[in-house]
Amino acid sequence: MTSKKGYLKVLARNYFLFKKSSFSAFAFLLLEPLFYLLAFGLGLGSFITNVEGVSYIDYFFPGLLCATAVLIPFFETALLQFSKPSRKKLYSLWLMTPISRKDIIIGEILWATTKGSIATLAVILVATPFGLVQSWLIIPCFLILIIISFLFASLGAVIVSFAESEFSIFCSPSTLILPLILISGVLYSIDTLALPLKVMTYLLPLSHGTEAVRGLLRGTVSMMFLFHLVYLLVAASVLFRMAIQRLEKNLTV
Amino acid sequence: MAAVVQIKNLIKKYDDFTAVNIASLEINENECFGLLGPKGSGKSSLAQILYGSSSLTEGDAFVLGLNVQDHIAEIKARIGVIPQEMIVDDELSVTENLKIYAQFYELSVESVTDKISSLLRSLKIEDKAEHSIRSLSLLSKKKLSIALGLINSPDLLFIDEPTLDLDPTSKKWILNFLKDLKQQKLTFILTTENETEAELLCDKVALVDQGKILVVGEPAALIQELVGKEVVEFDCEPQDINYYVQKLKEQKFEYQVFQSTVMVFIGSGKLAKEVLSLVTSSRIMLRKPSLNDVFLRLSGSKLGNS
Repeated sequence: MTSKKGYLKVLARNYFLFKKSSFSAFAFLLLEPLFYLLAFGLGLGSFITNVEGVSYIDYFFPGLLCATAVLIPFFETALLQFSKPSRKKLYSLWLMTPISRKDIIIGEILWATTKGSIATLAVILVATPFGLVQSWLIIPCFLILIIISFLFASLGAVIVSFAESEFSIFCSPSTLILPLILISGVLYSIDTLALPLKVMTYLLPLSHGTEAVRGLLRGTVSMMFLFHLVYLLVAASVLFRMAIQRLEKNLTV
Repeated sequence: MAAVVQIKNLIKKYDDFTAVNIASLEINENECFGLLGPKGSGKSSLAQILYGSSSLTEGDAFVLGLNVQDHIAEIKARIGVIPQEMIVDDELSVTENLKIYAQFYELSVESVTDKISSLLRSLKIEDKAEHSIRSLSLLSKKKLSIALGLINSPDLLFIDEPTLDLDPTSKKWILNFLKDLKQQKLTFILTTENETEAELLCDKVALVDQGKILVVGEPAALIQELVGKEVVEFDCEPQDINYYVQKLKEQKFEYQVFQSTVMVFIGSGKLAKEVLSLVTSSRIMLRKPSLNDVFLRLSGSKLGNS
């Protein structure tokens, strides 16, 4: 009687805890995206009347969804789960049961993905009364946002696997994630960038996320949409495998 | 009697340091087995290999008939571990801790509800079932840690230094509880550096020093055989040690010198008063021998807690 789907037990434990603290955890998740919406959408947006034919807040909204799907899962794996000492102790307890290291890594990544998805869903729900959600296309968008959450949950885990060994300075989230958000089409169109910077931006996964989600929501889907989607799926599966492979060896408990 | 643990030529190395090196060891079912040795002797490293928290470098180890190298998940499903550190899930209540942990063992919620209440009752923490971990005393936390180790009704239980960091009253409570477990015919492996604990709880002990097993046997038999029925212990001035050693040799006494203390082991056919008449010391006593004396006799050093 070995534990065949141990990662689901790890996921269930985290979800149980989230549910237990229901209101406070949920409100906390919403705080950050709401501030972004206020600061960039309404604050900055009041100076900018028109971007590519729409109001700035309409332009910014898909970017905000993507940024939420990046920040929440990434911080969950990179800062909260795999690097907190108390969490590591807990892992050593779990490892005394049939739960394996692989179960823990997969379970935590799936939980971070779930939390990111809950947060983006909450942003969608909050934004609807403001008239920011106008189309049923928000449903396929949400599926893409889940893929983005999974990708950045995996990336967080990969980063930790390096931080465990030698590259800890590199891996401060603010040196990695904030610049990524600033250049990946969250706040402004990638088309405005100079060609070399544009090429570099397209090497990073988030630009494909913002382009896909924004294209879909604004009904400007082209062949490029498929390319963005394939890029996201491939990047996510590569990072997920890498996270498992590296952390199975490196995770100290 | 079936063996619950079998070890053949087991070696555990950390870089160049050999932490464990054991040619052979068998532990039987329904036996309370003690691994007794000082800090850093390798007893915990050995236990960790057996319960799957650490890997071995060479050789073979079987737990419940299964090889630890390729059946560790099956082994973990059937054993329980009470670690030295009281690790529990701080964010959950006492009952929630047990429920979630039971799910890790694939036990259904319905089947564990009774198990949880009976564990809480026998550990006398049923009134703390819904308490948060932060509100628990050290003893209650230890009790929860014991309950976690017993939740899957294990065939074999590992207990690592169960009374470390506890106050004397709590220590006594835990030892009495473990004695009850022993009466219920549970097989367990206790790692400890405390000889009193080992003598109280264990049917058999292995004395461990520098990664090797010095001797295996029943505590009383080991004491009888290797130390005798009594010990005369006295302190003396450093310059007098040679004089006493000379005298003891002449009269064919078994003895061991540790710093400025001389211990004379009174075996059969010898009388303690022969030693007493020989010595003038401000501190001299006649006492019952313990496993610490056995350890001292075999290794030349003490277990380090007395």
